[in-house]
Parts: sequence; C-alpha cells; structure tokens
Amino acid sequence: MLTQTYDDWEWCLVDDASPNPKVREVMERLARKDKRVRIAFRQSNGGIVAASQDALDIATGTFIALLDHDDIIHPNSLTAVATKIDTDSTIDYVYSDENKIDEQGRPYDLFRKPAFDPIRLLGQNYCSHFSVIRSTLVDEVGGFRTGYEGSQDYDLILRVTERARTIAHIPEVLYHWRAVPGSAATQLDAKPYALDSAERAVKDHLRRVQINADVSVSDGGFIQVRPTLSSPPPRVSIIIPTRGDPQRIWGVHTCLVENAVASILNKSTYLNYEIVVVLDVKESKPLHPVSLPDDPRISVVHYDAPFNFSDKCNVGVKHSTGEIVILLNDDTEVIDSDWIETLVSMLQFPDVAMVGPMLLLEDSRIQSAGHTNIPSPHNIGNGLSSNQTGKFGMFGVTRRVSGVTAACAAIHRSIYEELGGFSIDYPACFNDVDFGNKILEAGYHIVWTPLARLFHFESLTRDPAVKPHELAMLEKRWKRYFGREDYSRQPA
Amino acid sequence: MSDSGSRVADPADLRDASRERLLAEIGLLQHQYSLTDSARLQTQIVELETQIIQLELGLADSKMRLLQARDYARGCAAELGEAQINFATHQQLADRQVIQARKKNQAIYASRTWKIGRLVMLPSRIVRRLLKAG
Repeated sequence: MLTQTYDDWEWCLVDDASPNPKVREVMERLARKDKRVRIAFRQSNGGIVAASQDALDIATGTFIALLDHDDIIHPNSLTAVATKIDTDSTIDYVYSDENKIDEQGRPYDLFRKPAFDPIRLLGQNYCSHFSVIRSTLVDEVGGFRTGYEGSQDYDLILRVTERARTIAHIPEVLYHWRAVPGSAATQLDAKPYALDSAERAVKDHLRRVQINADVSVSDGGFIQVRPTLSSPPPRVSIIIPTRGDPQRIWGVHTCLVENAVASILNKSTYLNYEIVVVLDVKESKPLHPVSLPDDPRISVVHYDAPFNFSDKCNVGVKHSTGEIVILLNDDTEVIDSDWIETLVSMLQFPDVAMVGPMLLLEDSRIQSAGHTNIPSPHNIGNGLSSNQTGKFGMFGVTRRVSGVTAACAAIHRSIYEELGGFSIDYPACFNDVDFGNKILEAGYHIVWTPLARLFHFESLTRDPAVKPHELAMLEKRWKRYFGREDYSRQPA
Repeated sequence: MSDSGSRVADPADLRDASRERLLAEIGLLQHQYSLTDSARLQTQIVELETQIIQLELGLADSKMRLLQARDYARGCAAELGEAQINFATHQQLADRQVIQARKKNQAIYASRTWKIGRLVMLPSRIVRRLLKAG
C-alpha cells in the first residue's frame, strides 16, 4: 500500500481482537508513520464479516477497494483504477486480473479474466481480486452481511453487480493473491463453510433478480445453477444433418446417425421433443442404408443438393416445429440423460440465444468447451483432460463464450430465423463461428455449460481441412474480432 | 340469403313440415350446393389440393430465400463493419505517414546541407527573379 504511485487513498485496518499484541503495535506504528492509515480495534473477535464491516464504517473514500491482509497489490493498482474510473462517471464497480504468489513471493497462476459475465459469476467469484466498488453503492446494498462468512466478498459483489450502472474490467494484473498452506488460494476445502455461504449468496441473488433456478455445489467446488424450465416445457426439435455414413466408434462398425438417434431415444429424459434427420439422397435414394426406429418423434427429410452443412441445418429447422432447435451432428452420442433439460434451461437466462454443451472425444478428452477468438477462432480445451476443471475453473462453470460448435448447439428458433440461420456461404467449416458472431453482433449472448455432456467423434465423416475460401469469407466479415473476447457486444 | 337458397333458418322448423315442403327444401339445397354434380366438385377439390401443395412449396421456398436474405443482410452489415475498421486503420496509417513525411521535410530544410545549397543557389535565384520581372 505504501508504495502506491497514486496518493489520494486511505488504508482502513481493523484488529479483530487479535490475541497477538504485536498486531496492535504494528498497526499503531503504521498509523503514526502515515496519516492515511486509519485503524480501529474491536473489543471482541467478531470474525471476518464484523471486522470487514468495521473497516467499511471508518472508510471515507468515494470508492472502496477490498484487500486481504496477507495479499499484495501492484504499486500502480490504484493509479490504474483511478484512471479507469475517470473515463466514465457511471462506473460503480471495477475489477482487475490477478495472479497468485507463493510463500517465496514468486508469481504464478496468472488469471486473465473475461469481460463482466453475470452467468459465470453465478458459478464462481471470478471477479474477486482486485475489486473496487463505489462506496455509496456499498452503503446502498448494506455492506457485508453476517452469515456469509468465507464468501462475504462474493455476496457483496453479487449484490453490487445487481445495481451497478457500469461494471468495468481492467485487463492488468493489479492484485497478487498469496497462496500459503491452508489458504483458499491453494485448496478448495480449506474453508468448507465458504462454499455453503457461496451457495446461499447465489440463491439470494437469484431470488432478488427473480430467476427461478435449482442451485447446487459441484464436486469441483463450483455453484451449479439451472434455471427452472417453464411449464409445460417448450417443444424442442433436434436437427441431425447426415449422409448416413458408417464409421468405427470404439472399434465397432457403426452407422453414426443410427447411433446418435438411439442414444437420444434411450437416454434423454426430456418429454417434448422431435428428431428431424436431414438425409443426403441421390435420385431419391439414400447414399448409405439407414435404418431408424419407427418412432413418431422421428421424421426424415431428404436432401438432394450438393453437400452444404449450413443449408442442411436450415432445411432441418424449416421442417421442424419446436420453439427451440438443437443442431446435432450425426457423429455424437448423448452422455447425460438430462442434456436437453440443461441446454433448454440455460436458454432461460436473459438474452441468451445459443447454448453449447461439453463435447468429449472418443477417449473422453475434451473436444470442445466452447469457442474462443484468441488468437483466432478455435475450440477451447481441445485435447485436454475432462477430469480437470481447467484453469480458473473454465471447464467447471457455465459461462459466456464467443461461440459454440454446431456439433451440438441449442438455439431459440425465433433468433435463428431472425439472424438468417446458418450462412450457406460456409458449406463445411466456420458456419458456427459465423453464426456465433451474428448472434453477438445482434446483442445476444452465447453460453457454454459443462452440465450437459455428449461425445463428439469429431470429423469422422468429412475432411477436417479448412477450405481457404471459407476462411477468407470469415475474415471478410469478422476479422476485427479475432484476438478479442468480445462476447458481450453492444448491438450496432 | 339469395332467393334460390333455402328459406329455413332453423332446421327444427322443418320437423312438422309437409312432404311437399321438404321436397322443395331438398331441391333448393341441391341447387345451392350442387350436390348432384359430385364429379365436378371432386375435380375442384383435386385442383385446390394441387394449388395448396404448390403454394406450400412456394411458401417453403420463400421462407428459405427470406432466411438467406436475412443472412445476406447480416453478412453485408458485418462486411461494412470490417471495411470501416480497415478504413479507419488505413487512414490512421496514412495520417502517420504524412506526419512522418512532413517531419522529414522539415529536417531537410533545417539541415546544414540544404542551407549551404540555398546560399550557393542564391545568385542564380536572384538572376532568375530579375529576368522574370524584366
């Protein structure tokens, strides 16, 4: 604090009745040394919430910055925050990137955070350090709350973000979180009570923003939120474009579309769905023999034009009747029985147009955990282990992304039609990247969730090589967004 | 109701009607709905069904074209956005190049070589001016 390049600060320190007399001594020495250090002493130990609230009570600044007693902030932190706040008078909450430092002070685990994502915030307190909040807003929401010990900052941030006029992200590491044995920075179960508090904080938040949802805590320590489905549940149309090719899956010669359809019928628990298979034919005859079950939920549409995945999806959607369409590749297989419920429930979040699940390769490594634009559009997590929750929980939390693969994507029909569906200018590749960009450009959001999982035996049925003209077309439309994670664009 | 149509507003009125009255009403109804000409009606139905199928195909085709038109519009807007960014980037680059060129020019004018050259060329400049004035 004392090395800050910004001068206009005060440092509020509260001794929570420490049995160690040195604490008082150090605090008093600091206060004597620098008049900007304000100190208070509690008569009895009240815990982190009471001590933090006492610190708020003695604070007089326009903004409150949260700094844990064992962490470090970069010397330019307050300057960077002040500069950001000066750019927009409506900024009420600022957060920055962070990293951890070990006991020897060595930095590691750099966390480059995304732009503000209220859906990810439901799963984890990813904003956390370094958080700076307008003090009037802190007062307005009632400061820290007793009963949320261990997640009192998460609870405060949730309440603040509900009312903040503008939330800004500073993409610089301004905070170094010290990881010592026993701290939450090193191990999740260091403070088990914190997870209970976090779950309650999220439930409270959802109640306040009037979203009905099921909330639970995952094994990985993330909050899992599933918005409640409307009653009756919306009709879902699963569109499967296919040529009917057979391939080897787990060593067994399998007709891909038959396998995909069988897995849907056998595993899905959702009640109100139909399957539309768009089958390539030549002179009215299928290219490969396909035998689908005699089920009233299945309809087959013949497609006799030259191969164009986008057009086949559009044709399938046109022949379907659901309010929600799920585009599904034939080289997929359902893992979780509630996959449709999960995808549909995520579409209940405000302004979410498209949702994608966790897709796994044949050997259970990740095939796609959404799309990123950095450095250029590609699948997140491709080839990584699905047993890990990934860096900063990126494979463990539902979050906004720049896109999801069309191998499995649930979309509101109305939005699909509004945006002109998949562009037939991309017959094989990038049709989903293009569509994702259209969604973002229109001001909607795309969400990826790990709560629904499917296998995707990627590119078994076609040449995975990228066609140059498709890449050229993509660059012609969207190159300005390559290298950026703008998944919260303002409509043009 | 036209003159040739049935005059019965409520079928219950015919409950106690005479045979002649009933025959007359049947005749009127047969005339009104051409029930005797079933073959013609059948042809009309087939024609209408064909028309409906063609209209449905046309509608489906229009829907697809509408979808493509929407995509085209979104694509054009995206390309425009890209072009605007490119334009702004190139304009900035051009502006920078102009500024650099001006600085280079100023450096040349300020250099000793330029000043000496200017001094050396002074007599010829004066002569040229005099000749022009003359």
